[in-house]
Amino acid sequence: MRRINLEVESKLSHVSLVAVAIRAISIHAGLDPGNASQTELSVVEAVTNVITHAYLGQPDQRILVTVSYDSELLRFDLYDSGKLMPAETIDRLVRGRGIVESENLELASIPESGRGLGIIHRTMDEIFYERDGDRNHLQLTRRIHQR
Amino acid sequence: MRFEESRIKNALVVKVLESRIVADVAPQFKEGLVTYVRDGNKNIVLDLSDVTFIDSSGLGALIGSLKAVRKDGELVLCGARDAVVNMLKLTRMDKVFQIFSTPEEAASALS
Repeated sequence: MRRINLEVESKLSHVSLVAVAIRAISIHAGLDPGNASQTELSVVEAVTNVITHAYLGQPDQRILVTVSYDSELLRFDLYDSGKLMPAETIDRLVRGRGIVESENLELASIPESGRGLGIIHRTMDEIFYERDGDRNHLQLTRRIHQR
Repeated sequence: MRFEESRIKNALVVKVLESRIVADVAPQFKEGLVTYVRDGNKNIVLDLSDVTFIDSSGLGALIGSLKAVRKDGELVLCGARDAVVNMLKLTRMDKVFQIFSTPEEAASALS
Protein backbone atom coordinates (compact mmCIF):
# COMPACT_ATOMS: atom_id res chain seq x y z
CA MET A 1 0.00 0.00 0.00
CA ARG A 2 1.05 3.57 -0.54
CA ARG A 3 1.22 5.53 2.68
CA ILE A 4 1.62 9.08 3.97
CA ASN A 5 1.66 10.42 7.52
CA LEU A 6 -0.03 13.71 8.38
CA GLU A 7 0.56 15.19 11.80
CA VAL A 8 -1.47 18.10 13.06
CA GLU A 9 -1.71 20.09 16.27
CA SER A 10 -4.91 19.70 18.25
CA LYS A 11 -6.37 23.04 17.17
CA LEU A 12 -9.73 23.31 15.45
CA SER A 13 -8.26 25.94 13.15
CA HIS A 14 -5.79 23.33 11.85
CA VAL A 15 -8.35 20.66 10.96
CA SER A 16 -8.84 22.14 7.51
CA LEU A 17 -5.17 21.41 6.71
CA VAL A 18 -5.83 17.72 7.19
CA ALA A 19 -9.14 17.98 5.36
CA VAL A 20 -7.78 19.38 2.12
CA ALA A 21 -5.01 16.77 2.12
CA ILE A 22 -7.50 13.96 2.71
CA ARG A 23 -9.67 15.16 -0.15
CA ALA A 24 -6.76 15.42 -2.56
CA ILE A 25 -5.38 12.00 -1.62
CA SER A 26 -8.85 10.44 -1.86
CA ILE A 27 -9.25 11.66 -5.42
CA HIS A 28 -5.69 10.60 -6.25
CA ALA A 29 -6.52 7.13 -4.89
CA GLY A 30 -9.51 6.79 -7.20
CA LEU A 31 -12.57 8.18 -5.45
CA ASP A 32 -14.84 10.49 -7.40
CA PRO A 33 -15.27 14.02 -6.00
CA GLY A 34 -18.55 13.17 -4.26
CA ASN A 35 -17.11 10.22 -2.41
CA ALA A 36 -13.92 12.14 -1.70
CA SER A 37 -16.08 14.76 0.03
CA GLN A 38 -17.46 12.00 2.22
CA THR A 39 -14.04 10.74 3.28
CA GLU A 40 -12.98 14.34 3.91
CA LEU A 41 -16.09 14.84 6.04
CA SER A 42 -15.52 11.64 8.03
CA VAL A 43 -11.92 12.46 8.84
CA VAL A 44 -12.84 16.04 9.75
CA GLU A 45 -15.48 14.73 12.15
CA ALA A 46 -13.04 12.21 13.64
CA VAL A 47 -10.22 14.74 14.12
CA THR A 48 -12.63 17.30 15.56
CA ASN A 49 -13.86 14.67 18.02
CA VAL A 50 -10.27 13.96 19.08
CA ILE A 51 -9.64 17.65 19.75
CA THR A 52 -12.87 18.29 21.63
CA HIS A 53 -13.42 14.98 23.44
CA ALA A 54 -10.06 13.18 23.72
CA TYR A 55 -7.90 16.26 24.27
CA LEU A 56 -10.72 18.36 25.81
CA GLY A 57 -9.70 21.31 23.68
CA GLN A 58 -6.03 21.38 24.73
CA PRO A 59 -4.30 23.02 21.77
CA ASP A 60 -0.73 21.74 22.20
CA GLN A 61 -1.32 18.03 21.57
CA ARG A 62 -0.61 15.95 18.47
CA ILE A 63 -2.83 13.95 16.16
CA LEU A 64 -1.32 11.58 13.63
CA VAL A 65 -3.34 10.63 10.57
CA THR A 66 -1.80 7.88 8.45
CA VAL A 67 -3.41 7.57 5.04
CA SER A 68 -2.81 4.41 3.05
CA TYR A 69 -4.38 3.06 -0.10
CA ASP A 70 -4.19 0.47 -2.82
CA SER A 71 -6.45 -0.29 -5.75
CA GLU A 72 -9.18 -1.66 -3.48
CA LEU A 73 -9.38 0.55 -0.44
CA LEU A 74 -8.49 3.78 1.23
CA ARG A 75 -7.63 3.69 4.92
CA PHE A 76 -7.20 6.39 7.56
CA ASP A 77 -5.52 5.53 10.86
CA LEU A 78 -5.89 8.24 13.48
CA TYR A 79 -3.71 8.19 16.60
CA ASP A 80 -3.93 10.46 19.62
CA SER A 81 -2.82 10.37 23.24
CA GLY A 82 -5.99 11.80 24.71
CA LYS A 83 -8.71 10.34 26.87
CA LEU A 84 -9.98 6.83 26.25
CA MET A 85 -13.02 6.76 24.02
CA PRO A 86 -16.06 5.90 26.21
CA ALA A 87 -17.68 2.50 25.60
CA GLU A 88 -20.97 4.13 24.62
CA THR A 89 -19.21 6.21 21.99
CA ILE A 90 -17.45 3.13 20.61
CA ASP A 91 -20.82 1.37 20.39
CA ARG A 92 -22.29 4.25 18.45
CA LEU A 93 -19.33 4.78 16.16
CA VAL A 94 -18.27 1.20 15.39
CA ARG A 95 -21.56 -0.67 15.73
CA GLY A 96 -23.98 2.11 14.92
CA ARG A 97 -25.98 1.59 18.10
CA GLY A 98 -28.23 4.51 18.82
CA ILE A 99 -27.41 6.22 15.54
CA VAL A 100 -30.84 6.65 14.06
CA GLU A 101 -31.83 9.99 12.64
CA SER A 102 -35.18 10.86 14.16
CA GLU A 103 -38.20 10.54 11.93
CA ASN A 104 -39.53 13.62 13.68
CA LEU A 105 -38.41 16.56 11.58
CA GLU A 106 -40.22 19.16 13.66
CA LEU A 107 -37.62 21.90 13.99
CA ALA A 108 -37.89 22.30 17.76
CA SER A 109 -37.00 18.65 18.28
CA ILE A 110 -33.98 18.61 15.97
CA PRO A 111 -30.70 18.72 17.89
CA GLU A 112 -27.94 21.14 16.91
CA SER A 113 -25.12 18.72 17.76
CA GLY A 114 -24.29 15.03 18.01
CA ARG A 115 -24.21 14.08 14.33
CA GLY A 116 -20.49 13.46 13.88
CA LEU A 117 -20.44 9.79 14.88
CA GLY A 118 -23.42 9.01 12.67
CA ILE A 119 -21.79 10.70 9.71
CA ILE A 120 -18.63 8.62 10.13
CA HIS A 121 -20.64 5.44 10.60
CA ARG A 122 -22.68 6.02 7.45
CA THR A 123 -19.88 7.10 5.16
CA MET A 124 -17.14 4.58 5.99
CA ASP A 125 -17.22 0.88 5.11
CA GLU A 126 -15.24 -0.38 8.10
CA ILE A 127 -14.53 1.22 11.47
CA PHE A 128 -12.15 -0.14 14.07
CA TYR A 129 -11.12 1.32 17.42
CA GLU A 130 -8.57 0.19 19.96
CA ARG A 131 -6.79 1.63 22.94
CA ASP A 132 -3.14 0.91 22.17
CA GLY A 133 -1.15 1.60 25.34
CA ASP A 134 -1.75 5.25 26.11
CA ARG A 135 -2.96 5.98 22.59
CA ASN A 136 -6.31 5.90 20.88
CA HIS A 137 -6.25 4.29 17.45
CA LEU A 138 -9.24 4.78 15.17
CA GLN A 139 -9.15 3.12 11.77
CA LEU A 140 -11.57 4.19 9.06
CA THR A 141 -11.68 2.26 5.79
CA ARG A 142 -13.45 3.13 2.58
CA ARG A 143 -13.63 0.75 -0.37
CA ILE A 144 -12.80 2.54 -3.58
CA HIS A 145 -14.94 0.91 -6.22
CA GLN A 146 -17.82 -0.88 -4.50
CA ARG A 147 -20.24 2.01 -3.87
CA MET B 1 -16.78 34.99 9.56
CA ARG B 2 -17.42 37.28 6.61
CA PHE B 3 -20.81 37.96 5.09
CA GLU B 4 -21.97 40.13 2.21
CA GLU B 5 -25.45 41.61 2.41
CA SER B 6 -27.88 42.68 -0.29
CA ARG B 7 -31.63 43.01 -0.68
CA ILE B 8 -33.99 41.38 -3.14
CA LYS B 9 -37.66 42.35 -2.72
CA ASN B 10 -38.35 42.08 1.01
CA ALA B 11 -35.60 39.56 1.71
CA LEU B 12 -32.17 40.10 3.13
CA VAL B 13 -29.68 38.09 1.11
CA VAL B 14 -26.68 37.06 3.18
CA LYS B 15 -23.82 35.60 1.18
CA VAL B 16 -21.29 33.59 3.13
CA LEU B 17 -17.82 34.66 2.03
CA GLU B 18 -16.02 31.67 3.52
CA SER B 19 -15.38 28.38 1.79
CA ARG B 20 -15.67 26.21 4.89
CA ILE B 21 -18.24 26.25 7.69
CA VAL B 22 -16.58 24.02 10.27
CA ALA B 23 -16.05 23.71 14.02
CA ASP B 24 -13.65 26.61 14.50
CA VAL B 25 -15.94 29.15 12.81
CA ALA B 26 -19.37 27.64 13.52
CA PRO B 27 -20.03 29.78 16.65
CA GLN B 28 -19.24 33.01 14.77
CA PHE B 29 -21.33 31.83 11.84
CA LYS B 30 -24.37 31.28 14.06
CA GLU B 31 -23.81 34.51 15.97
CA GLY B 32 -23.62 36.45 12.72
CA LEU B 33 -26.90 35.03 11.46
CA VAL B 34 -28.67 35.46 14.78
CA THR B 35 -27.56 39.09 14.80
CA TYR B 36 -29.41 39.64 11.51
CA VAL B 37 -32.52 38.24 13.20
CA ARG B 38 -32.05 40.44 16.26
CA ASP B 39 -31.76 43.42 13.94
CA GLY B 40 -35.30 42.74 12.77
CA ASN B 41 -34.71 40.84 9.53
CA LYS B 42 -37.52 38.32 9.14
CA ASN B 43 -36.90 36.99 5.64
CA ILE B 44 -33.36 35.82 5.15
CA VAL B 45 -31.84 34.13 2.12
CA LEU B 46 -28.54 32.47 2.93
CA ASP B 47 -26.37 32.29 -0.18
CA LEU B 48 -23.98 29.35 0.16
CA SER B 49 -22.52 29.51 -3.33
CA ASP B 50 -18.99 30.14 -2.02
CA VAL B 51 -19.18 27.34 0.54
CA THR B 52 -17.40 24.18 -0.57
CA PHE B 53 -17.52 22.25 2.70
CA ILE B 54 -19.65 22.07 5.84
CA ASP B 55 -19.19 19.71 8.79
CA SER B 56 -21.60 18.70 11.55
CA SER B 57 -20.67 21.75 13.65
CA GLY B 58 -21.49 24.04 10.75
CA LEU B 59 -24.73 22.19 10.15
CA GLY B 60 -25.59 22.56 13.83
CA ALA B 61 -25.01 26.30 13.58
CA LEU B 62 -27.27 26.39 10.53
CA ILE B 63 -30.02 24.55 12.41
CA GLY B 64 -29.63 26.87 15.39
CA SER B 65 -29.93 29.87 13.11
CA LEU B 66 -33.06 28.47 11.50
CA LYS B 67 -34.59 27.99 14.94
CA ALA B 68 -33.82 31.61 15.80
CA VAL B 69 -35.34 32.92 12.57
CA ARG B 70 -38.44 30.73 12.57
CA LYS B 71 -39.75 32.33 15.75
CA ASP B 72 -40.87 35.24 13.64
CA GLY B 73 -39.65 34.74 10.10
CA GLU B 74 -37.99 32.40 7.63
CA LEU B 75 -34.53 31.45 6.47
CA VAL B 76 -33.97 29.67 3.18
CA LEU B 77 -30.84 28.51 1.39
CA CYS B 78 -29.60 29.06 -2.13
CA GLY B 79 -26.60 28.22 -4.26
CA ALA B 80 -25.62 25.17 -2.24
CA ARG B 81 -22.89 23.14 -3.90
CA ASP B 82 -22.87 19.34 -4.11
CA ALA B 83 -20.86 18.79 -0.92
CA VAL B 84 -23.29 20.94 1.07
CA VAL B 85 -26.38 19.37 -0.49
CA ASN B 86 -24.95 15.91 0.15
CA MET B 87 -24.38 16.79 3.80
CA LEU B 88 -27.97 17.98 4.10
CA LYS B 89 -29.22 14.75 2.51
CA LEU B 90 -26.94 12.55 4.61
CA THR B 91 -28.47 14.02 7.76
CA ARG B 92 -32.01 14.37 6.32
CA MET B 93 -31.83 18.12 6.83
CA ASP B 94 -32.77 18.55 3.17
CA LYS B 95 -36.29 17.90 4.47
CA VAL B 96 -36.01 20.78 6.93
CA PHE B 97 -34.36 23.52 4.89
CA GLN B 98 -35.86 25.05 1.76
CA ILE B 99 -33.14 25.04 -0.89
CA PHE B 100 -33.21 27.16 -4.05
CA SER B 101 -30.84 27.55 -6.96
CA THR B 102 -30.50 31.34 -6.98
CA PRO B 103 -31.00 34.25 -4.58
CA GLU B 104 -33.77 35.56 -6.84
CA GLU B 105 -35.73 32.29 -6.67
CA ALA B 106 -35.26 32.14 -2.92
CA ALA B 107 -36.36 35.74 -2.40
CA SER B 108 -39.44 35.19 -4.58
CA ALA B 109 -40.42 32.24 -2.43
CA LEU B 110 -40.30 34.47 0.63
CA SER B 111 -42.31 37.34 -0.82
